[in-house]
Parts: sequence; structure tokens; C-alpha cells
Amino acid sequence: MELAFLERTGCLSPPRTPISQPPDTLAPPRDAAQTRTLFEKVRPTHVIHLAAMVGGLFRNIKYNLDFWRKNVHINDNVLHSAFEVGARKVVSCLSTCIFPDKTTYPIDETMIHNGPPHSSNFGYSYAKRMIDVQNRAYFQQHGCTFTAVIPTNVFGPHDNFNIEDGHVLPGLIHKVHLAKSSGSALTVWGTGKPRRQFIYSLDLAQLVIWVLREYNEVEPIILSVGEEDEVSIKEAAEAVAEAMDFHGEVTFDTTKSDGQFKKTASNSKLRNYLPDFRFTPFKQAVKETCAWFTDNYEQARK
Amino acid sequence: MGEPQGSMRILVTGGSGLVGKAIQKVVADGAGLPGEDWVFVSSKDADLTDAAQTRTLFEKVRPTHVIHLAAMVGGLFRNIKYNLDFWRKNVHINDNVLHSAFEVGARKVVSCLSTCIFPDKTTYPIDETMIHNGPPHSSNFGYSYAKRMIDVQNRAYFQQHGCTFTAVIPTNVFGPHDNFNIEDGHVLPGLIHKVHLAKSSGSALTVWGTGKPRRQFIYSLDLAQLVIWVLREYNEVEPIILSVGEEDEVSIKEAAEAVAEAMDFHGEVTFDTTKSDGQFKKTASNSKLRNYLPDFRFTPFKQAVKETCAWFTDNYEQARK
Repeated sequence: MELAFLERTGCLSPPRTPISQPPDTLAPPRDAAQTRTLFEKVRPTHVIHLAAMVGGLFRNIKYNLDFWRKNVHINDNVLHSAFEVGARKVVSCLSTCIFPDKTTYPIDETMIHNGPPHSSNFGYSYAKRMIDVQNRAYFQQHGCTFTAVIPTNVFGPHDNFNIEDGHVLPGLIHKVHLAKSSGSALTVWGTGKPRRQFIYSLDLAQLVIWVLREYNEVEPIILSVGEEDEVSIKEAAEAVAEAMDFHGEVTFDTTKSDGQFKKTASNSKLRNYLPDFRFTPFKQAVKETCAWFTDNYEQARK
Repeated sequence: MGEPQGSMRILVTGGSGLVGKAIQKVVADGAGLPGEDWVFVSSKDADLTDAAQTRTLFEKVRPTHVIHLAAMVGGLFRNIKYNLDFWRKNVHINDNVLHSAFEVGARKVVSCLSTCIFPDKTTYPIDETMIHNGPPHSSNFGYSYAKRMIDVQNRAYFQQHGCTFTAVIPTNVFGPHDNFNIEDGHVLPGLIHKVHLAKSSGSALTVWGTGKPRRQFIYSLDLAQLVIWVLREYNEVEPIILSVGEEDEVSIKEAAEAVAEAMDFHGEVTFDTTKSDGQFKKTASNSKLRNYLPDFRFTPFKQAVKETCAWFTDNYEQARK
């Protein structure tokens, strides 16, 4: 239900069942006063905080200051407004790209602050890391349960499919679509060798809801497929090509940066809590996402 | 205020504090150069946790250079209880000052970090390259991360805009105009105040902790001279440690003895080991500084302690305590 409808019909006084938020009608949370107004209007008991300034590798490299400042503002506004209206729990969203660049693998939840992040996106990485610092500070000073999840590379419907700004998998989907339309080759940026764990957005959503309801630690939790399901960028490109029935040439532009070579994360903590959770198989999730993109091409963010 | 008359207008935030007052004194005593216009501000002039007030201040002063000393600070015991406040307030202050400086086109900003923000698990001596190599001591993680993020934000201004925003890292600073409050202040001014009270009441001096932790102390007047040198001559974005050498590290017990001697105290000295010691050591290397300034001479520790104790006694009524 839209926020505006709830206001008109007087439904906002008692907390109701979850409201979906069309982002364009609501306050951009960088502004503290607007954020506070929003929280006082909605009066949440719980918050899932997903809003952020995000972008792919190439945009991060150029705008470290903006990625740092804007995200720190958003996060502070959201966390503190949640605190001030007495929300019982906040689940924020980190990312495996924020972990220390020099590290052993697999990375786990205890290692977030053990050294500097990769230099390509240090602004974004530190802003995300500081969510965990602020969570621990709310717990130390006030006893609040503010926590965070750490997904690996997320993909699915409604992603940002912009080739310059988006992440690797939606970028590949858009590129294959264009390559098919124009009968040209698919050019993958980088060597294709870096490896990633991909998590389907619909699987992640189920896990975030579980965290909101059942996970009560302040320390974050990695939400990911296991290490055995890591794939290379080349393999991901091949999965997209297969899903979209693309039979043209695939080339690699090695003048473009690869970013981090690997970010292998352990999902042992998750598996200790949920040994039986089943992830959607990668190729099936890719196929569903490609179909969504093709069906929704006009309105997709690109 | 119009355009800077000379070549530099230097805004000093935290101008009424320990280091700000020391810079004021050093400049007044002749360290200022022709063409330099020094402007010292404090919380009376603007609440730097407020973005609009900070912006208004910067637009009024229009500095070409900034020495950013303003912060929410406190000793070990206050930090332990209020990590959220130490994190948030300092992040707000730092972002407001750095970004206002950027927006008015300041050519250089020198901010102030601290050796207490370094990784807790580390090898010694610590140096400038090690700041982010692991989590800080848990006792004051809020303050520590806020200070570390000054360095992150400095590097981001350089990466995105080419600005020379940098930082200094002093070890334990002491001197006139410190906060001598026993609960909230740092160890050396706390000892000075305690000795003063012990003398007045004829009681023992009780030092918190075991007395064994070790610190490098830097006199505020020496630090002031070095900060002015950094402002004029140091052009790296990576911070620089400003400290006496490793060989001049002293224990809290030795510091207490220096204060007792300076104030002519002959009573009993006891150690309350139920109180936390904080970090055992924070030994910092001043090699980078020595490479730049091999001949800089620090005021000898006992002389600096004596001068500070004399200032406290002479200014007891108005001293912050």
C-alpha cells in the first residue's frame, strides 16, 4: 500500500501490516529533517534499511567522496531516526566488497574491520563498514538490537541494468540484449577471470525477513550461497548468453579494470542457523531475470 | 570579513582548547608570518555539529587554510560509556568542517587525529601507514572510528577533487588551558588536579589503574609549533605523527612522580587497581617527522610539566575542571 493512501484513510495510527514504498513519493533519506518526518509519520517498530547510493566498479572509482558522504548521511539519518522513534530492531545491508583487500579466504563476519578495503571503492566500503560501528555503538550505549546482513553479489528483477553504473550481472544481461538486437559481439569488461558468489534477490528477500524476525545478534551475518557455488565472470556471461539464446562472439576487453579478483565469503554462520535453506539454482535464477528484463525492457532502469 | 588581506587566512576550529590556545600563544609570541591572518573560533562562534551554522561561519570567515581541532573529547572513562555520542558528534563536526572548507575553496585543511585510534592488536612502534590495519581498542571505538574517518574523507577529497586535506597525529598532549576535570580529562591534567587537591587537603594522591601503562607526552606549545609547520610546509595527504621519540616514553607512575615533584608534593601515592588502565602502550614512531625536521627540539618533559603545573596553580579559578 502506498504511504499516501494510508495517510488519507487514517490507517497510519496503529502499526499495520507491511507497507510497500514507491521510492519516488518518499523522502530521500540524505536529509535529516525529511528522514525524521518520515519516521515520525510511519512510526515503525522494525526497519529494514536498504537505501544507499550504489554503483558498479567504474563509478565508485571516480566518486569516492560522494559515495562516502552520501551514504554516511543516509545511514546516520535512518539509524538515528529509528532510534528516536523507539524502533525495536533495524536490519541494515552491508556487502562483501567492503571486506579487507589483503585477507585470507573465505572471509567471515568477524573480519570486516581487519584491514583497509580495496582502494577502488574505499568511500563506499568505509561508509558501509561504519553501519556496523554505529550498530555496536547503539548497543553499547543504549542496548538496541541494530544489526546488518552481508549479501554477496545480488541480482534479479528490478535491478539497475545500466551498463556504466550497474553491477556485473545486470550489465551482462543488458549487453547481451543489445548484442542480439544489433547482431554484434558481446564485450565483457576485464579478463573474465574474477570470481563471485551470486545470490538471487528473491532468495535474499526470504533470508532478510528471517533475520528481521529471528536473528538477534548485533554482529552481522553473511547471506550467500556457499563457497562451492562461486563462478567466474566468464561463466556468468556464458549463463546469460545461454539464458537469452545468444550465439554471437564473446570478447574480453582487458583494458578495463577487473576490480577485486575474489571475495569468497563463508556462509557457515547462516548454515548453522538454517541448514536446510535451499537457494534457487544459478542458471534458473539467471533465466528468470533475463526473462523479466526482456518482458520489462521499456521501464527497466537502464 | 572581506577577502584575506595577505596570502593566507587561517581559521582554527577548537581555538579555545588545549591545542588551539597553544597555537594562539605561539602565533602571538612571533611565530606568525606577514600576510597571515589568524582567526580562532570556538563553540561560542558556531555549533559545528550543525551543518548550517558551520557553513555560515565558513562563508563569513572565508579561510584559505583551516586547522581543525574541534572535537568531542574525553578521557578513558567517559569514552567507555558513550561510544555512540563520541562517534556521531565527531562525524558530524568533521563532515561539516571538511565540507564547508571544500565549498569555500580552502586550499588546505589540517585536522587532528590521535594515537589512541590505532589498531589494538599491532606491532610497535606504530606509524602513519598502520592506522586502518585492524580494529581500535574497544574502550573508545566510537571516538577512534570517527577520527579514522577524517583520514578516509581526506583521501576521498584528494581522489575526487585533488584537494590537499591532511592530518596530524599527536601522542598525549598536555599544557595550559587543558581540561583538568578528574572524571573527564586526560591523565596528566587529571594528575595535576589531584595533586593540587591532595596538597590542599593533606591526603594521599590516588592514581587510577596500576600506573604501568606507558605514554609519549607532547607539550602543547611544541605541538603548536609543529602544527604551524605542517600547515605551511607539509603537503602529503597521508597523516604525520607529531611526537617525542620512542626513547622518551614514560609510565603513568613516572608521570605522577614528575607532577608530584613539580608541585612539591610529599604525601603518599597509591594506585587504585580497580580502575581500568586503558591501552597498555601506544608507542608511536616519529621517524617521518624526524626525516622532515631532524633538528626540532622538544621542551624537556619535567620542564613542561613544571610550567603546566604553575599555570594551573596560577589560574585555578578559571581553569576548566
